[in-house]
Amino acid sequence: MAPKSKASSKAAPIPESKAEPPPETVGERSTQRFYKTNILQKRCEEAGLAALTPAEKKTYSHAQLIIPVSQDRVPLSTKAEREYWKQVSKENLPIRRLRRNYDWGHDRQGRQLDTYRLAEFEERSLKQARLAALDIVHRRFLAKRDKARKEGSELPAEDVAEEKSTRAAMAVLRKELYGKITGPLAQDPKWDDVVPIPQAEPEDALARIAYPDDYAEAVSYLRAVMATEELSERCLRLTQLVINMNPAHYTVWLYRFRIVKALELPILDEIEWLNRVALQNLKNYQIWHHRQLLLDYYLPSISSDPVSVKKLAKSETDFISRILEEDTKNYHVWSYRQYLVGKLELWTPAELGAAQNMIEDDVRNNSAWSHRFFVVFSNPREATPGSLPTATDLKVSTATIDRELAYAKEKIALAPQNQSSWNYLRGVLVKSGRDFTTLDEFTEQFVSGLGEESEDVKSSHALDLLAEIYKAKGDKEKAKLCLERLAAKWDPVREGYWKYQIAELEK
Amino acid sequence: MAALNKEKHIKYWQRCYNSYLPTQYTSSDSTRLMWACFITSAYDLLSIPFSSTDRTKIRSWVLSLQHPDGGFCGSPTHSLPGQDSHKGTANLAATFFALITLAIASDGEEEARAAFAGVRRGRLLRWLKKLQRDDGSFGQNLWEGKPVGGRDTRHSYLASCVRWMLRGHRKDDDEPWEDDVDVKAMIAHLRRGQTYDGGLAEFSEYESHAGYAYCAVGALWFLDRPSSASSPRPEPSSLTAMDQGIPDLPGMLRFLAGRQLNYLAEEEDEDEEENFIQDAVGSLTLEEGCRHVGFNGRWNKKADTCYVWWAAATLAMLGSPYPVSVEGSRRYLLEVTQHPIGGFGKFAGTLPDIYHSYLGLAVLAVFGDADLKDFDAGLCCSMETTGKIEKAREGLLKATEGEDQTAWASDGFWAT
Repeated sequence: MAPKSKASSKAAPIPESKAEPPPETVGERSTQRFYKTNILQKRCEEAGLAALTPAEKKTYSHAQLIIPVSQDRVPLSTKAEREYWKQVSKENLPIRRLRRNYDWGHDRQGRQLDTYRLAEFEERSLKQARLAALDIVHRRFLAKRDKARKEGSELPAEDVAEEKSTRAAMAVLRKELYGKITGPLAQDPKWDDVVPIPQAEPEDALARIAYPDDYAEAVSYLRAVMATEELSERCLRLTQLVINMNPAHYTVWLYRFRIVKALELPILDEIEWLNRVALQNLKNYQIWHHRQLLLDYYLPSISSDPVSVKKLAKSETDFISRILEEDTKNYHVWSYRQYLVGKLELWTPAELGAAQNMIEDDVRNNSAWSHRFFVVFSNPREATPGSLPTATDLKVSTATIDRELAYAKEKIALAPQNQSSWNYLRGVLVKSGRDFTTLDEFTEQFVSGLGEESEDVKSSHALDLLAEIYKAKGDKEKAKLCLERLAAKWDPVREGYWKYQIAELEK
Repeated sequence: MAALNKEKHIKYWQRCYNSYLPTQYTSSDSTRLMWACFITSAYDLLSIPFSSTDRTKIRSWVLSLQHPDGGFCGSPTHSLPGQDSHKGTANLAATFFALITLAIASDGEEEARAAFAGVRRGRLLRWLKKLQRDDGSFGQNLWEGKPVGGRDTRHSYLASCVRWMLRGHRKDDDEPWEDDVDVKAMIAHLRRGQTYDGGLAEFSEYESHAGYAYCAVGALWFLDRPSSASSPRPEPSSLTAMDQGIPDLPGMLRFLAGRQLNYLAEEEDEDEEENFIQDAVGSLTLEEGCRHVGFNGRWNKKADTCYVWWAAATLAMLGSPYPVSVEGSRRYLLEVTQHPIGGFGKFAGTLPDIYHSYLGLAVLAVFGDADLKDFDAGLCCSMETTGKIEKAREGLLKATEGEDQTAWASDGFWAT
């Protein structure tokens, strides 16, 4: 350690420096200060070593020599060192000098701090001071909480709320000063005991996603609590946070379900929550799977109470209707509806009516047609359980078959080029075990003058079916004509398919 | 005739490969391995070479997602580091995409044979077996030791492919041996999926859907596929899985033919469910032409890029009994959904995304586009990659031969 210089001096007197304009930036100020403490340096740079007086030269060169010794680059024995510093002191050499090119570092945008104007720099320093002060408050909170916990108590809610606002203020400062993001979870004292597991990825990982900051944080906490299998209220809220940003996360739903079970949360509340999520994410699949899990879990607890079951059926079908209003062909919702009908045995006129209403609204809504087929032909009271849709089921009553055939025909008459109603007609016929030829009269009304000048076809699907009818009747030529006309004129999009059918016919 | 704007597509995929995917992909964070597979496979299809550094990086990233108990996790989000690694969750789809991506990241015979090095085959196949339920369906992952997720055909398809890629068809006395999944139950489950209109759904009571049809047919196709794709397939007979798994094949062919529609560009509208309204049939004459042929996934639905793939690839697996309207479909893809910045959108005018961009390329390759490599409609990658997968399987089997027989390996402690 260099001793303080004393008043008596043999070194060259330090000349007064010329008045300079006050510095504007941090860098300028540093340079000025450097010269102020290294006066001979400046003279030497400006006028050269030769311009110095002999005394100045001596001081200058001795001053250069101090540095290696003071930095321990020249090892001296204790005695030699004592002598050395004695001499330095005697000579009154300028040992308390600033270093040159002090590195002030840069801010988060990469701007060098020495380019800061003094006022800007002061503002930054104030922020740093404020952050340091807040950090003390924050540490005091931690200490207080530790103490309270050791005594088996928790801090009052006001303290926690205050700590939250402290952290929020710190987060703002940290972001401004250093660009560091402190997410909402790290700001919440309730999460202090969880050590998040962030996704550590190499720079060159594949299919990297520009995750929103909140997502990255939420997932890192989720990974941590799933690893420790914590099942708590806060974790339930955390799953919601993740689900909002990534509803297709394949384990967060399962984890949520586990929490719901462990905390014995009311299933109806969970369903209520799910309704909101479903309305925001119409195309999501996991939501409906989760709903099925909830129902499978909940039903046994109310199955002995028909009133509750009925109420559940009503609220579920109401919600389905509501969501189908927004998206009439939503695949997941219809699949869930089919699940629900099976589960709650809703083989009711009301269910049939619901599908029918949707067909009335849009005769081309294939999902609604599909549902109708299911409600009619999978009803265990009407049909043979397990009978495949592509197979005949003689258990289905003639009255039902006739009703369904009539319904399909009525809708075909309304829109002859509608694929759904024709498919339905064929499907019902297969179920009935009746021959396709029984549909000849009905089908022929959509086709006239086939192969003639006056040829008119109101439905390519009728022509398609006629080909099968004629084939079944053994009239290959007529069947072939239907297919040829489909390929050539009435449905050329499927030309390849019609030609294949012609080839099949001739086999 | 519009052509594939190869240069733009290359640019599109290079962007996907080199930079962050936009924030909107956060909602598919769980399927990053799928994105990785599509991106690298698009490179392969477009013959953009990978440097050896790239190949190493792809390999190590994919292997970093392997679960210690078998299978691969869908993304780094689902895989945990170090001691917690067994608490991550492997996923069937991710495993399928991981294996294909590993094969893509190999160049030449020697690398291909080592492409599956590091894959814990034994554990993976045992995990796969655990994913199967009693009814023959497969779950997407294990949860509390049980398979979870839908019972739909997607998982049957993925399981069938993974089984083919890693297990191959082993005979009873082959080494190394792993118990097989229950193939009979698998076929029976798929058989229960056909709907009254000939299509397929998760259960036959649900609405038919071209995507599920592809998966069911694909699952059956892989059960029949010889270990070496170049060997002849078994002749259609009542013994094939395909024949046992589809109760009504003519109905299926009708359903698939029905996916084509005359796309009327002027009807296209964002909010509209339909873009083909067929009030009358008269407008569909050859004279006016079917300039654009779109495909939908369900009856009376709107045309969408990906359904050209799902329907055409299904037909390809069924032996292409009849041709679809290739010229019209190509025009639909190239003139309607191909995007000026490269890639394909879902509909006319929509921005490209990885899913539609890849499946758009895939189906053009199925149609034999000269700018793309020969395509394997079953694995949804180039035939060249399928060839590498076979070599990788051989290489892995050779490397693990006999290992399972030793006492220290049988306790499951050692990775096999």
